[in-house]
Amino acid sequence: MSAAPPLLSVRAVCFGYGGYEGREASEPCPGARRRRGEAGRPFRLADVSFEVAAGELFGVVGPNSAGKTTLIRLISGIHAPQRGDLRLGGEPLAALGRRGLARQVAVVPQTLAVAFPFAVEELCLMGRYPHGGRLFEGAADLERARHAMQLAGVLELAHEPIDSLAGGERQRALLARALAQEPRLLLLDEPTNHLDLRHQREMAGLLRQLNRERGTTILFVSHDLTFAGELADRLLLLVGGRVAKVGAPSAVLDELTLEAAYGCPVTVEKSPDSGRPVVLVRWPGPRERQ
Amino acid sequence: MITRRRVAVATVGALVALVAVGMVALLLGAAPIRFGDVARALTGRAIPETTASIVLSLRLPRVLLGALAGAGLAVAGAAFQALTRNPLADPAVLGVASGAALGAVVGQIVGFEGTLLATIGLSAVSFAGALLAATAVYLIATSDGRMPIQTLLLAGVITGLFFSSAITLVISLVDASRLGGILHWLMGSLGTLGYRPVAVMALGGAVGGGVIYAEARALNLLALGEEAARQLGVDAERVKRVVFVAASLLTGLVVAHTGPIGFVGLVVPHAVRLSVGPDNRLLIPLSAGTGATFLVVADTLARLVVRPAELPVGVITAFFGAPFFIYLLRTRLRQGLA
Repeated sequence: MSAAPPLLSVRAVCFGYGGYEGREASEPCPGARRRRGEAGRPFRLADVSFEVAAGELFGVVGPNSAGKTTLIRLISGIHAPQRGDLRLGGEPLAALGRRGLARQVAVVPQTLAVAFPFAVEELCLMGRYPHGGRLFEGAADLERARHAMQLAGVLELAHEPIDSLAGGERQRALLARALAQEPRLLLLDEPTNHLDLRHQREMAGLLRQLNRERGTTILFVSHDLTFAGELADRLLLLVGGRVAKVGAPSAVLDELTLEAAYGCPVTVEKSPDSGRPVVLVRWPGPRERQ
Repeated sequence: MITRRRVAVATVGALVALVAVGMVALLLGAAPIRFGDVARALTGRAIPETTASIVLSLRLPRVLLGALAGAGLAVAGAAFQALTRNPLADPAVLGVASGAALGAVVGQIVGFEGTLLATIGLSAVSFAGALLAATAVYLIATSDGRMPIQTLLLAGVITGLFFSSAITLVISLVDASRLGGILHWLMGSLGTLGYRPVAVMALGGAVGGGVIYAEARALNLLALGEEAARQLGVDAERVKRVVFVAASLLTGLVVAHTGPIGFVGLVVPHAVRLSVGPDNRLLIPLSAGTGATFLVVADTLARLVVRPAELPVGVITAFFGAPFFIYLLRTRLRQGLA
């Protein structure tokens, strides 16, 4: 009996913007073509491989410019990798088509500037676009959009223009739009960015609830190691475009690994509530020179 | 939620208003004509020949031309605003109208006049000019896939100035006797053109407007930015290209026959958006209806205020439009809508 394929499979993926002549990072990608006349621009992602099983809550962490957002762009079909293989449910991403992919993968971006004052409900109805209907949504679409708004807790904001919302509400409205897509895989780019403590906690609760109660597979990217370790089943640590470590939060978030990845001293403690790792920076003392 | 029914009801409402305003416009002029006579002329019943000829040969084609031009400019404006994600865009601001005008000037000098084929030819060169200017602005203003508002407005102004200078150059090089009505046309006017341009504009406008409306839902999603739109399944590149060409077609068709008339494409979609919201499926047909009504009203005023002479209609639209544009700059831009 063969096991079902993982929902998301990323195999030996290499990607760079523009002229992608890799400097350090590209070297293990044999045969990557070099373009003449391009200044050496390193790959943003080099030889990245991992899998996400259906129903998993998967976190991606790493220092600045590790390639976290780039990874989301690749999985959502904005860019195609120069090398390697991306599959969803066993099918190559490219074979799904733009609409087909949007029916299965939804993205909650870090921020979203909406050019015109669309209301939250209109935003969520946009999430129904990949599901068909040429010019107008139907009653079923409205029902699903409202259901998504209810899940994300923005139903009472349905008729508010998006640009009038506060940070936490805005983030939840973006989540509602993604849920209205009814994706198999939900991608979130820094879901707690710009959120205060209460809203961070709310977001964590919401994502866990979606994952546990509705079985939504979630891949999120975060700067916040403690948040990521608290929420995720498994973590991937990305450093300079390469996979440094994949595994349970307690295995990835250990002092030696993090010090090597971030190049600064950290202390990892255990959360008294959950037993999950809590990552603390060891701040420089007054005499220490940086 | 925007439904087919809501769009249909709003569109019928806008059309009823347009027909009512158009009827009033037929009554008014250097020689006022009674409603009964206009109605008789329109239904082909016996009235004095001069009255019939004023209504059917002068005023009716002018009202129809005004309605089509107003609708075309407003829809082109709404389309450019959606494409550039910028409420300050319109065919004139982006320099597209100047490109169309250059094409039309060349066409008129070459002698596209008098036959149906010539009318079509004039529309075609004007369309080509519009497309050229739109492409130039687009290429100048885009860097790294983004189009910042300041760069876009500057690129539009510069392109517009360039094409205006090119028009001046062409005119100064051509023998004055061949200029004919060009100078008058350049001021923007719905003067006595007859039914030929009405027919060409109606047909071409239906094509351009239809193409844009077919993408209305995708244009809504473009408001989220190209990346988000693509992640929702929109083929952003195709939508942009198609709508871009169609909006240039509308601009070219209008400018070829009326000359440059400013502010309709800017003011009308924005005013409509303020009252019914930003959804293009409702915004586009209502902008068409409102733009048509607005230009018919403006042209009627242009015929009346200095009777029996008349003002170029562009003067009237600018007197309404310029203050509104300033209002937009002062409020919207400050809120960071860019």
